[in-house]
Amino acid sequence: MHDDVYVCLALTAIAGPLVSVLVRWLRPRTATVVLTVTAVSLAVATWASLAILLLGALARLDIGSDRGYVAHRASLMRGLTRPELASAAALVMVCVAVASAAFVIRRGRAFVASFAHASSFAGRERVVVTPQEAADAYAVPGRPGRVVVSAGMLRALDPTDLQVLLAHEHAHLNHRHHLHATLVRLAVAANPFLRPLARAADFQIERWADEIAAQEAASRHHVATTISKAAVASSRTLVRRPTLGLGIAPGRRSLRSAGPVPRRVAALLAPATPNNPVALGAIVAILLLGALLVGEAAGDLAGLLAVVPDALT
Amino acid sequence: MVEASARPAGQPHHKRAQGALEAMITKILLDADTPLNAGEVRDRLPDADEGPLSYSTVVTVLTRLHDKQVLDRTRDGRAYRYAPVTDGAGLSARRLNDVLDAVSDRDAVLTRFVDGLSAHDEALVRRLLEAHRAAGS
Repeated sequence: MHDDVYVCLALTAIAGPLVSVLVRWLRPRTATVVLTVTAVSLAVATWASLAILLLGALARLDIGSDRGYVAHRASLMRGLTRPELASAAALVMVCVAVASAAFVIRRGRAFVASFAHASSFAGRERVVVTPQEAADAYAVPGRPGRVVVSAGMLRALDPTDLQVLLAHEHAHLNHRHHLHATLVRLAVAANPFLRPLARAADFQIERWADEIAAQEAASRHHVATTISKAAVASSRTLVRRPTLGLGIAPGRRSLRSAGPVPRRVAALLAPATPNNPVALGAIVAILLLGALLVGEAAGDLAGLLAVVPDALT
Repeated sequence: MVEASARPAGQPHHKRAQGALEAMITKILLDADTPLNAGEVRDRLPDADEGPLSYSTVVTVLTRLHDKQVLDRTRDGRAYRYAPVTDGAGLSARRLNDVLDAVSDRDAVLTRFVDGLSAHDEALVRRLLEAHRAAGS
C-alpha cells in the first residue's frame, strides 16, 4: 500500500515537467486538452494518495486501542500508516485544501472583475475599440465576452493584419480558453509540482488561437508577421508593470529560453505537424500508471480493513 | 426554440461582424489625417464579401462609435465629419489598468494578443522572419 502511494506521489512530481515537454510534439489544440486532463488527473491522484495514507493511520489507531485481532495485529501494523507519517500527510492535506480554497476565491474575484470590465463597454458587439494610444489587444470573458483593441494597435496593423488579430482573440472566447487555464491552475494550487503544466498550457492556448487565425487567413506566415508587428508596437508603447521571470536574462541565445512571442513565430514559420503518436502514447501511459497506483493502494487498504470489519466505524 | 432553429447561430456572427466593422472604420479614421464624412469612409473600406457596404450601414456604425465616445464629430454642411477622439491624457488606459490591477491574478483570465518582448526576443523574431524570407520561394 505504502509503496504504491509513494510512487504515485513521486509520479505527480515527475509527470508535470515530463508531460509539459511531451506536448511539444502535439498539435496545440490536442496539447491544451491533454495538459488540462493531465493536470486535473494528477491533482486528483495527489488528493487520493494523501487520503489513503490518512485513512490507513486512522484505522491503525482504531486497531491499536482494541484488544482483539491478535492474530492479525502484526501484519496490520506493518501494512497501515505509521502515526508520524499520518500527521505529515494530514498537514500536507490541510495545506492543499487551504491553497485550493484560496485559489478558488482569488480566481472567482478575477472572473467577477473580468465580467465587470467586459460589461463596462457600451453596446453588445464583441469587438470594442478604445482610444488608448498604446498598442494593446486582449480578450476578456464576460456577457458578452469582449475583444478589446486600442487605437494604437489599429494604427500599427494593416487591415488584413487586423483580421488575423481578431480571429486570434475570437478563438480565445469561442473555445473558452480561460476555463482550460483556470482548471490547470486549480490543479497547480493542489500540487505545486504541477506548475510546469500551467506554463505549457498558457503557451499552447496562444498557439491554438494562432493556428485558428492561420486557418482563417489561409496563411501561417501572415499570422507570424502580424504577431511580430503587434509585439514590436506594444513593446514600444505599452508601459507594463515589471513581471517576474520576464526579465532580461543576459546571454540568452537560443529559442528554447526565449519568451513566448519568438516561439510562437518560429512555430508558425515551420510547417504544421500532426500529433506524434509516440508522445501521445507516453502521456496516456503516465496517466494510466497513476490510476493503477491509486487503484492498487486503495485496494490494499480495503483488503487490510476487510480483516477488521469494525475498524473506522 | 422555433426562433433558434430558424436562425442558427446567425445572431452572434452578425454581432461579431459589426464589431469588426467598427474596428476597421476606426482604423481608417486613425490613418486619415483629416476628419472624414461617411461617403469618404465608405470609399476607403475594402469591399465585403457581398459587395460594397451601403452608405446607411456606414452612417449607422459611425453614429454608434460617436455614441461610444470613440469618435468626435463636427457638422459640415448637411453631413458630419468624424475623427478619432484624442486621448492625450491616456484616461481610458489608466481606467483600464486600474480595473486590471484590482485583479490579483489577471493573466489567466485576460488573454493578451502579445505579451512581453525583450530586446533579445525582438532581435530573435527579426532573425526568424529574415531567415524564413531568405529560405522561402
